[in-house]
Amino acid sequence: MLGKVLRLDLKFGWRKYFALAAVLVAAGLLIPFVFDIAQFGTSIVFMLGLLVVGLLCVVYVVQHYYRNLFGSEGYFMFTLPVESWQLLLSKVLSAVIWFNFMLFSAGVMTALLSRTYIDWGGFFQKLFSSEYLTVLFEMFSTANIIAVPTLLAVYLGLALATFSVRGRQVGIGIGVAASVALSWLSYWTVMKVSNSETVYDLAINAEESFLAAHARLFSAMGVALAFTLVYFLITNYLVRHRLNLK
Amino acid sequence: MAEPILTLTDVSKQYGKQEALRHVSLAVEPGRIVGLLGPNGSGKTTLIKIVNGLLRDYEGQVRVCGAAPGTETKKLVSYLPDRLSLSDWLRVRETLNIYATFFADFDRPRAEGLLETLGVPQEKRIAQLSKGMKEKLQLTLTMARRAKLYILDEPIAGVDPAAREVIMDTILGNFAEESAILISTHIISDVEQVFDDIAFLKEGALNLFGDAETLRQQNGKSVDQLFREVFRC
Repeated sequence: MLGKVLRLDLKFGWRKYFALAAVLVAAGLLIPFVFDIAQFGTSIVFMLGLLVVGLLCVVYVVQHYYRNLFGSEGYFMFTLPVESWQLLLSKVLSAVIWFNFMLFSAGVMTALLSRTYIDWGGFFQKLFSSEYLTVLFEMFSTANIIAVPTLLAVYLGLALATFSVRGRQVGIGIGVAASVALSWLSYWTVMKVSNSETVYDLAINAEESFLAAHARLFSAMGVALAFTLVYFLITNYLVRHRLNLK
Repeated sequence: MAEPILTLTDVSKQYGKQEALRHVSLAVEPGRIVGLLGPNGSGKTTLIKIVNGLLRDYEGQVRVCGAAPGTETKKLVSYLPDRLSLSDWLRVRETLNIYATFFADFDRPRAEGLLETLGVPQEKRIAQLSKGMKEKLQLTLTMARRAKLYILDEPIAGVDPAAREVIMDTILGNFAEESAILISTHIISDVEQVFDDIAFLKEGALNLFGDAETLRQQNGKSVDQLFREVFRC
């Protein structure tokens, strides 16, 4: 049943995310004709692109989660013969899939923006070397280490907002406060355990192929996974025992 | 006597300090069409949500074919909510695919036949359908399941009298004798003839429950007249 729900969730989202990815690719193709990227720096454009995409991604993910479970669509989803944890896990998995898809699209956009400065022959040669594949894995891992517990914190906050009280305004306040506090808690712990000052620090350290740096990334991964699991279990408990569709 | 399909024993539900349901007990037997009647805010939708597992925080006992509301009972209950619960960008044909994927008892040829009878085009997106068409689509999806219990929340609210007749014909023509139907409504005159049993909910409490014909004979009034008497302000 989990597979069926996941297929349904992916079906719900693919138009939006593919449209967003198409915009990124188009931007990567067209922007160099209008601006000289060297003037701004590819990394700045990449960071800006990532920020916009990240924000849109969050909006889509949160909107889908809320509408599909606690809005009108919840009247259909919660009458499916499916366990509540399967509904939730499907939301988490589909969000992670789309998040990484968008991350990949942002990477493609950056490569397209920098196309005149890239030695494509060398790029593809290096891309499939174990060294670069490791770096790619580390970059994607770092992004997920931060994003996934935050996503679960938001899911938990929204569940609290919906179930905590009948008065929706108080509930929303509680939900937003819980989302922010829980996101910060998971982020702070990940950084503390991995002994990193910032996400950039964590990613850069991870890029080094020293064992200590990898250990740092894996410890951060473990902490992120633990937070994800705890937030998931609490959200599932709320959905199982306190479901209260308006 | 056959085992009831649905039993509620002393069911209560509170929203904060407000009591939405107060010690409601009733049983629905196979082959019966039960009218769950009451004005807006009387607790009909709350009761229906509890039976469907959409509200989990309640007191008392609910059993659907002997089981508490959960994954197993959702295989037995076909529910028509009082709102559009499907994403409106879906095509009608896709909704059939979704139902066929999740519900083993979904009868696709029956659904396609009903859509044709009701004039709902399969290639259109839900957003392109009129309000009446959307209601007919949801009703088709609900009634095309071979369920044990059909729960219909306000199936005729917001549709014109001609459409009401079609909807009631669809409901009556598509349920088996071993099943039961619980219909919640506050529009009684058009549908009271189809009810075998009626349950009046007033301010969250079960005010009256019994065989519709017996109640008519005992009181010398139609269900609609009884309703107006009970719920007169």
